[in-house]
Amino acid sequence: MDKESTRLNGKDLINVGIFTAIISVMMILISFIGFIPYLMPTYCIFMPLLIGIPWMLFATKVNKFGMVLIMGILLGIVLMLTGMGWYAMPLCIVVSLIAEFIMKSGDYKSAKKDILAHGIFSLWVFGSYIPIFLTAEQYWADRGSYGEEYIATAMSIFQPWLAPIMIVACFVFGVIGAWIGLKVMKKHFVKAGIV
Amino acid sequence: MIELKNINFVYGSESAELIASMDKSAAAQDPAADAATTLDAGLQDEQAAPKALRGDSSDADGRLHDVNLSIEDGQFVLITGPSGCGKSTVLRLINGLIPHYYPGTLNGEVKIDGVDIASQELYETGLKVGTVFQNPRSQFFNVDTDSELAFACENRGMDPGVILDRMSATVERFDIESLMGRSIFRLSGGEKQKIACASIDVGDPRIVLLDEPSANLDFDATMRLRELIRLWKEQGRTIVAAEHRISYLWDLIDRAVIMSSGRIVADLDTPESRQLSDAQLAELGLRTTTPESPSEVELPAVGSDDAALTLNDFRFSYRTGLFAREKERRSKTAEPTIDFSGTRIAMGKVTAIVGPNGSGKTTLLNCLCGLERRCKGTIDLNGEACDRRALRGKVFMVMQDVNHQLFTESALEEVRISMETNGEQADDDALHHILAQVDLDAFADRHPMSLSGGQKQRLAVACALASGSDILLFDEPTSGLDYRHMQQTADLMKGLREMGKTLVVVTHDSEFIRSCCDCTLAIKNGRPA
Amino acid sequence: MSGIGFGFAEGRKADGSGARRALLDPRTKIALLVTMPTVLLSGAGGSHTAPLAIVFALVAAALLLSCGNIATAVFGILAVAFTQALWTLLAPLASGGAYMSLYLMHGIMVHLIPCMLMAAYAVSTTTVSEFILGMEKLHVPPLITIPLSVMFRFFPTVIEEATSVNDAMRMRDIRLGGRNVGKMVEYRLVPIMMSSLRIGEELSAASLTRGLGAPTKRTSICEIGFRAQDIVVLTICAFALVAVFAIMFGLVS
Repeated sequence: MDKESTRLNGKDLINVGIFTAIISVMMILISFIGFIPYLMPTYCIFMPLLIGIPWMLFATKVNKFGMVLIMGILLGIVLMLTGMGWYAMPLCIVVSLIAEFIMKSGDYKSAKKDILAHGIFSLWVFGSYIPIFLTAEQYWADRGSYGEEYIATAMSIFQPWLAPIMIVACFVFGVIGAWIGLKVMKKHFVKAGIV
Repeated sequence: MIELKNINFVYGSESAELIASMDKSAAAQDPAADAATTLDAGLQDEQAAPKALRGDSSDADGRLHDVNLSIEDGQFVLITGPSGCGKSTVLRLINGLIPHYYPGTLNGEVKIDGVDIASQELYETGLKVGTVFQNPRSQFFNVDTDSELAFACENRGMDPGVILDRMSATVERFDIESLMGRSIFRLSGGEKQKIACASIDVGDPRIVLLDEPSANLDFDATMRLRELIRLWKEQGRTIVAAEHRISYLWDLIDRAVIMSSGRIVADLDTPESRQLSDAQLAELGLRTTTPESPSEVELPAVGSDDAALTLNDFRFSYRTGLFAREKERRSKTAEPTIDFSGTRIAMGKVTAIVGPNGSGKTTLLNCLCGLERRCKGTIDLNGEACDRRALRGKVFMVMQDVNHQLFTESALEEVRISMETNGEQADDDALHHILAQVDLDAFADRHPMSLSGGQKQRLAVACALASGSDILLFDEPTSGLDYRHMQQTADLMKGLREMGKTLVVVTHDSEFIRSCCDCTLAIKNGRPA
Repeated sequence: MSGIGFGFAEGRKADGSGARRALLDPRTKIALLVTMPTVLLSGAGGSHTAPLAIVFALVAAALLLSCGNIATAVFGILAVAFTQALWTLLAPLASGGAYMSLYLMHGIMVHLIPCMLMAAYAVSTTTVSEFILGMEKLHVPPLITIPLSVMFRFFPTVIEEATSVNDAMRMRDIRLGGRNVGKMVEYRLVPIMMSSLRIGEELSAASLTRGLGAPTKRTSICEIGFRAQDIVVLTICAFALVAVFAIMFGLVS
């Protein structure tokens, strides 16, 4: 069988669909934590952490350009269909592209690059928060910056400065999650001879 | 006209991975799964665990040796033989999945009407050849039945009007009007296979391939499948079927090609040649050629003086409306209420549970092992009334898809976690002993998913033994198994019975029932019949 | 989520005929899903758009009711009413951190709920085939529509597998908490992924033999198209977006 080197074939597309389905279901299940609003920022911890496992398995099927990008776009669509709006889409596209280039630079064979790529890719989780932070911005715009007001609210969540922290968290836990994913892969999938 | 000339084929290591992850049906011995053996030492990935021997399978691994086969137009050919003989491989050569999907080393030619298949793209071959696979759950691409029927033709870019006409013709011919406009997820296994067949039919293929289509179907559904296949035969299509369960097709076929270890060992193309005695069948590794409904197998019911466990208050109703779970909605045939109160199950014996699909067999099993939350009944076991929680410790179910219940990274670990549910600290000797009881001690360090179907089943049994359960439940343990492995499973049951365990087996396999079951419990409409 | 099956009113055929053809073209629904959040988050953002959000929520709920999704509609309205009541009653009393929390919760809810209701409507009245056809007509390439179809088809499968694995764990009496959480996740995820891989391989083979991936342009038995109601809705959306941009860029105040 000659390798159609760069064209994505039916099997690749189906793989993207399957793994995106798995990741979407995980995302939706984890998002139930958000029922308690104060726990919402923890998405940036748990989602990248857990999604790292299917990601590494997916990475073994990725050997052409485009699969990760399509996954990113699909996740953007899923976010839109769950009512999170279209804000995540540009973010998804950007991080997918960066992840693509990272993985490609390792010739699709480097586990380290796959891990790094997941760190970046995980920023998509932040996509759901964009409207929240915009709302928070609005709050401050309304209230001006009354000194005591600021101090009084310093303990509450969703300060604008929380955003960079969450973004970094997505990256860090994305890397950790993928690293765990690699361990799981070796322990199970490689040992079982499936990979 | 299909021609296979001088075929020699070996699956590549990539294929072995593909097929290793494709464990066909619950306990099937997928021939090529056993292919990931020492085949391709040269191609082994250094970081991968050595794909060591897969134990108790035959030497065959789906590869083919010197296969020559010609099939005339309109012939109905059955290809059969023990697991690993290569029958699925032959089908894959005809529909082009080899070499386009399953890479490997292919020597020889495969031609349809003089056109070499290997050089054609899959979608081109798909115009002439339609394939029905064995797993109803994984063949369909769409979520609703109409789209699924239209799928093949839509891919070809056909005009929608023409597609709709063809769909109507198929629906009428197959009598599946009641299945239209529905979600495929809510269909039963048999209905899904009907849709699979229909979706092929709309594409009007000259050649129809069937890869163990009845493996996951019960007796009635298999008979209905047979009707569809008969329709195809009447239309003059060329049909090539690979099957273990040959009884439902034996009288329809024109020709039976028997394979073993990758070679054709017999080509029976006259009805006389197909009159085989039981001994001959056994020697060829084949299942019976006489169809028999499981309910026809005469076995005693539980005697009143036999030691038995009695079910008390085993009843509940399906939820309807908003909170109905998917599984419940699927059972359109069953009454909304299940009632097994007063049913007695013989202890220390093997009881077969038979009944039509949707009659509540699996529900009964779920209740028996304490899984079904809304069943509040208890079981009288040795004078003790056991509720749901107690049952969980005493009853172990080997599920239809054993893959769902094996989680760890080695057989030893798997048995260990079962032993620990007993509250005992597991010491390695005890664990090895249990594995030895099911003949798996040599595989103690192997990953459960690298085992063959039959081995996984035995591993599950080992876990049952480790958990101290005295009652073992089995859900269709022999679907898709060839003769030898079915016998092995029957022997396993007998061995467990000798240990004093009580076995309850949901099965539609009459040969199996005859081989090892002591009594039957017939179920109909959620109640004992 | 039983009320929100993807696309399903049983009896409706994929080609749009049968019991009821959907009210709106899938592309119109996409437009709504894009416009609504944009408007709600426009310059005025958050709590300011509360009245507008309530209107949207009501509209979405009405649509949901029209397609029979009573539970979701009612739930959505109650959620909006509850949040709004909470805000109106408590805000004047709160200050500092509590006030900001309330403000944010109110702002988030008010923004999210109408969008989610709208999404629920879109999802429950569009079959996958119609959705894909809509995207194809918007010139979305098969590179995206095929994985999208597969994804939708695979959701219920993942859930089925997960349920089965969960049942298996319960049956073997392996409990959460007794062992560390990591193993719990591992024990669930790994079999699910293995199963999914397996099903995926079989699905690929079956689909490829039926012509998936052929270079010809796919046709579809679905019928979609813009009708009067679509034009109306699309015009409103267009106006809304123009208004939003105008406000944002200060052309209008």
